Amino acid sequence: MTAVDPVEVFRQEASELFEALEIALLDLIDRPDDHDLVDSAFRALHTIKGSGAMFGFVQVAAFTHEFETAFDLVRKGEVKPTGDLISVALTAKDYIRGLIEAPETMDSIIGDAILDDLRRLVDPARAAKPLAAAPAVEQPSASGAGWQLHLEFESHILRNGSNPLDYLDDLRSLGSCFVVAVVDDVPTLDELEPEYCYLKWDVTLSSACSRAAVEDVFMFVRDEMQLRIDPITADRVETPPKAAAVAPEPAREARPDLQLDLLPKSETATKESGDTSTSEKKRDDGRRPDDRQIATVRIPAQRLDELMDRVGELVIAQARLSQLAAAGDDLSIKMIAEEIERLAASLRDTTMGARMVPIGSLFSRFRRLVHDLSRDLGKPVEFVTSGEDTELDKTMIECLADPLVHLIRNAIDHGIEDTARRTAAGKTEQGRIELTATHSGAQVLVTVSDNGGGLDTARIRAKAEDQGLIAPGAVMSDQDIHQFLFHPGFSTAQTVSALSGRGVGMDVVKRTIENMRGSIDLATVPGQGASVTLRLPLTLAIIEGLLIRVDEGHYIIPLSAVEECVELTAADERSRGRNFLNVRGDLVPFLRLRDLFGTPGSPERHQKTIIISTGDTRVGLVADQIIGNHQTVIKSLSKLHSDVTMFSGATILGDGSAALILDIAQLVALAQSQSEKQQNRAA
Amino acid sequence: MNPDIKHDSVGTHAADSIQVLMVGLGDETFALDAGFVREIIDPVPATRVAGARAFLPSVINVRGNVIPLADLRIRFGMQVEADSADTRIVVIEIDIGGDPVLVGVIADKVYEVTEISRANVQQTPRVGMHWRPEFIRFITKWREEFVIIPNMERILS
Amino acid sequence: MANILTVDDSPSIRQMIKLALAPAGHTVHEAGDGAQGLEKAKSTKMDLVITDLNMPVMSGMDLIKALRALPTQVGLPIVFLTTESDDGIKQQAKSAGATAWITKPFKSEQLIAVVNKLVRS
Repeated sequence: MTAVDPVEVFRQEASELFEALEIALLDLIDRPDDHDLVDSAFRALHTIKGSGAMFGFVQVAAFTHEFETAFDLVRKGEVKPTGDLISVALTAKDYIRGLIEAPETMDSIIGDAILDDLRRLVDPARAAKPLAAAPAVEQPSASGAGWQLHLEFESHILRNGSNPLDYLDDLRSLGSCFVVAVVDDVPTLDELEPEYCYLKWDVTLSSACSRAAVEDVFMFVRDEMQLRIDPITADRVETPPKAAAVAPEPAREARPDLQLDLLPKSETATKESGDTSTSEKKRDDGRRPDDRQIATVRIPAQRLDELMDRVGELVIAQARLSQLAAAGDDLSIKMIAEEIERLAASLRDTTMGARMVPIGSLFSRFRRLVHDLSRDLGKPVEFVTSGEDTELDKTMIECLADPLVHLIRNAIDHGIEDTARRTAAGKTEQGRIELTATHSGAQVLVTVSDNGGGLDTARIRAKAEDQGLIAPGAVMSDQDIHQFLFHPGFSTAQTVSALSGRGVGMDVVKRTIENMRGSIDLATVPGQGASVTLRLPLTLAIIEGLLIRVDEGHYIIPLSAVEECVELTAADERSRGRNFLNVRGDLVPFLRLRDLFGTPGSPERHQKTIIISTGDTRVGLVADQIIGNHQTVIKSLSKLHSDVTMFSGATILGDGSAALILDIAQLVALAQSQSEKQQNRAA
Repeated sequence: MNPDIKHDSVGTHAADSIQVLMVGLGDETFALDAGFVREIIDPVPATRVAGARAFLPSVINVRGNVIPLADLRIRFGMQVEADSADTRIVVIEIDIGGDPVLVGVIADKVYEVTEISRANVQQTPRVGMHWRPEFIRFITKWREEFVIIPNMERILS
Repeated sequence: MANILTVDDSPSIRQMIKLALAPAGHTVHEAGDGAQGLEKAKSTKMDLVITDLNMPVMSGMDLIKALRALPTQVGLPIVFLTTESDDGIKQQAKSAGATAWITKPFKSEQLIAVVNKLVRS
């Protein structure tokens, strides 16, 4: 078992709490009277404060305490959670997050300013006055030589798990004790309630400790006992009362019996059952219905990756076994190989399933974005999400964040019209952004749609002509024109607002999605809105690949990109410098992988061409041999090879050697630019 | 269990002596900090990576990980000999941008793990014509010979 | 060696308690809310329960009451964790049947001291 550092656990937990807090705060905008929301926000704050203090995040605890104090007025119903208050609370949340994640970058002046805002909003009168508790005053210590104590516990004390003997032990730790058990109240055996404490004690404590120190011993039971503490004089200590006919340790000897007496009695069982039914009833916890409790175990993401690696190796080893078994003629080995193949496949599916996380965690982040953008741009926007349960590989969820931020920002900034124009067009003042996720076969579709003005085809076209991307007057479909939005450096916004223009363009979005082997669809209805749909594969870890050979080297082409395989004809072979392939009347540019990889020597006879496509662009790749389908466990390339462009990853073949996976998007782009050059040369 | 070993790649913390692996490359001998060395393996088939930098020409499979294979002889402009019976691959872990990265390094010969004293550290980097100063972490003496402890992060990135 | 149940919606606190108590040979059981805690206490005979008060689903206060109402749990020591400085909460928890409390933030040593006192060997 590995011991996980609680501080690490806290960091992870805190980030979940921040998410919960943000959801609750944002929900409060719509449902300011929902007590459960306030409670759940309060609980998140409370845990951050308590745990933060536990793990040494002193500033976090101090700041959160103030935040909590202010928010407590909301909880008590004294203050309404106004939009302003929510905005400040969100900022405060970000600040705390900063204190945990990057404390060195946080300036306490900002923290103070946030707290000031908070206080002003919840209680103008008390602004800038931290509500600090008065420090406890230490009581003066006793001047005498010790204390004479009389202890009388309530008879039920044992039931609540307290043991008077423990307190006697604690007293001994303060100084030497002379203990006398007072047995006067112990009834006869037939009247004795075994769960009750009948003993009382007189204790002579010789110690210079303070009265407070003595009282501290009984801190937990102070309200369940009578405690008399009298200072004693030195001579009384030296001559303990003669009444001490009982040995100093009688209490200790009584202990085993008392313990036995704690066993349940059937009478009490019936007597108490009335209470149980009411207190066991589950209280509504104020959570949203969709995060009902499921039995889950937290696993560090890294371990899942390791598990996937091991499963990948198993799949590879199994492939080798199957190969060997198929080649031999031992029937029992063949049967075992088949069994292992089945097991490996199901283990692979289960493991991949474990990497799947619901996309909802990502969606909830954007509510804040929409809230802030809507406020900053002065465009009221309703944000609707659906399909939060749709699961995607966790790595992809991480990769999707930036593209979605960009798409949502675009939709609000450029898509949704301002209020005046919406009213003029007979639309509702409030715009609407929808973020949805759905399964579609082996793909997940993530769509960002708005009910704004739609794509302005004429303006995109004008811009494309401006930039010399198309010849003026060229005939093009609207769809093709919209594709220019994905061109690097293409932006149709007439004024670059502070929000857009962060250096991330649609071209980056497209590249990110294509790196995940996904694609983007655009749809628009003029005047009614636009939608961008990201089509993504379910997982990144294993793909179906086509194994090919170029000279000595083996390479994988993702099968999803392969359209067909054709033989390179003698005519094509001869057409050096032209590099176009005639596929049923269409001219398709092709790349000779041997040339591309700088392979020495001359090509083998009967070169094969694999036609691959992204979107509606087709490109041929010429290889020496097509070997066949291959279950490809994707291994990413090392950081040291980040400058390599033609390959998107690697895998391990049956013989244990590594093979590279071709980067389809890059190769298509390369082929296109080459064919453009050739066309220009020809023209 | 995952060996989460954090090491100090720059080595500014002074320790009196460090464990090193003595490695031969051409006619040079240098020392790799043993703390970075993960394993030493016999040569395995390498897969050429088109378009990669010349000194990181290929990748190899080491226990299910596809890792780059570095040829320092190319980096230092030394004569590249064919593999011999002594050729080994030293798998080391270096720190690139805060992440641990495994890389195989071709060695013409691997000698031994030994302890060298940091007290002998020489700051004058005038040893060997192949060594650019920024490639050298420090120089020390081993059996009366100067030995270079290279800065693998700088050399490889 | 005792069976100790930690009930807290904060996994980091549970982990911290576990790390503090496991080396002493105690078996630390975990529950994320009062309801889970009650189930665990019913299915395994616990020697000590350490519970947070502010939790979803079922609060620590309700857990204390529910445990005290069970005849099988008579004498079970229940310690609650609290950050509240006001005595009101402590009084409530005490009259609900709690044995002792620990104020957050606390150190492992403080926790161990309380546990050693309440767990009968």
